[in-house]
Amino acid sequence: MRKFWTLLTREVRSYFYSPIAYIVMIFFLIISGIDFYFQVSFMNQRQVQYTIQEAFFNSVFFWFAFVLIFPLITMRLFAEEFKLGTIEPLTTAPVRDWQVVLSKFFGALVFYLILWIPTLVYFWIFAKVTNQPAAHSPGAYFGSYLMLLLLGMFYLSIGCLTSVLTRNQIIAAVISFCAITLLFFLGLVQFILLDVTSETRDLLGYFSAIEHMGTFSRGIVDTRPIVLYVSMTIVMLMLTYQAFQSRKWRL
Amino acid sequence: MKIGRIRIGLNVVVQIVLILFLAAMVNSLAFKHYKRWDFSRDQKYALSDKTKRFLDSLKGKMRITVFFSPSTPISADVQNLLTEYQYAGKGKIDLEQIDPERNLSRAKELFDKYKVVTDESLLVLDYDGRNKTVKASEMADVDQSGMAMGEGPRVAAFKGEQAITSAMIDLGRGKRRPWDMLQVTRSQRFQPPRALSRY
Repeated sequence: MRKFWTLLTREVRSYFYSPIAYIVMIFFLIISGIDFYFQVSFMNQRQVQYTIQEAFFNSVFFWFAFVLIFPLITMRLFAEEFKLGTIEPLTTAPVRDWQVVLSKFFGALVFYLILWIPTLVYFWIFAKVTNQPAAHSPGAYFGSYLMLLLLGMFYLSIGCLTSVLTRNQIIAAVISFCAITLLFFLGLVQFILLDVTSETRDLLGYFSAIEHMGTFSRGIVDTRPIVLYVSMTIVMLMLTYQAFQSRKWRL
Repeated sequence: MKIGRIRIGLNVVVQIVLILFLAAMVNSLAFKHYKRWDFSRDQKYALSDKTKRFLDSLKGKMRITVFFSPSTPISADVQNLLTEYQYAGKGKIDLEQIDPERNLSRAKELFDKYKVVTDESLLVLDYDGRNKTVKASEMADVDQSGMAMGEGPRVAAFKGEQAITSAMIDLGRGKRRPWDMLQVTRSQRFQPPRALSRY
């Protein structure tokens, strides 16, 4: 466990030594700030039935930034180490492959969670300035941030897998962006198709990130998305582990 | 050397297939058996016990066709509420969403079937060959006092559950035969308290 913690600390630190972390943070804060500003302006103009917290987590700006950050966070995880050759000392060190894979995944997850911390300040400022609650209940915050964690875990694990498959960071980013966007649009199919049965709509809804976020941001917690994202994260990490190990036996 | 590599490769493929199979099984189970918790303070979309009991007692499938244009102020509320009905109905509620402005042919077909003659957004509940409509105006009290000031209509109170459940109960009641009442009465006969019945 101590080796894992050492690797994890190394991973988290390495984010802040590279310029990409600051670029991602600035990009993300600008987009989420614009999102928040537009939602407040919209709510100022007309009467709406939802809160600023629901609007923030379900807007186009949110999803735009959300889908884009994962390739940026994960592209360097393995690809950079392969290219620079720093993976060799790591694989010959007395650490297991699963420790390397998990430390990279959790390192990315820690950075991803750090990205979201400032958004809590938005809601606090909103509540202070307007004397209105930013959400219907603490449960709505809990639901939104829980869904952010679950989606983040899944999409980061996809990024880990694509990064382990190539030495080129750009290729890793493009593949993970395509995979994440494809999965994201799969959830939109139910809104596009007109004549679908209730069962098909349910099945498509099971994979719909938009629907999951909509439900969780209202403060409703459902076990199905939790099972889906946790299980798919495990699958992706298993595939990453196998792909990482394959370098040894394929030689 | 080559045989060893093939063996490892096969081992990896088997592991991957197994983990994919396991994940598919877990998700298939999770899709059918799930739980939902409402952590919102006002529990806006949480269904009452009465509605849940009624949905449990439903014998057949109830089909709900939603003719709501997205511009209706309560459209999102109705959508969220019906989703809760679907979850509580455990497969007994069949939901079809029709945007009358986009899917004209399907809307016309169903309007003709249910003999609907209104431009208002509404739901049609169909159970056991009988149907009932619930209009948007029955599901919410809309405050239009701000219209003169250029503001849009404001939903003062959303009473979707009340309107939908009572329409469902009306449809369910229509099915009862006179002797069903007798059966209910018989089942409600005086029962000694459990503690006494032991002696």
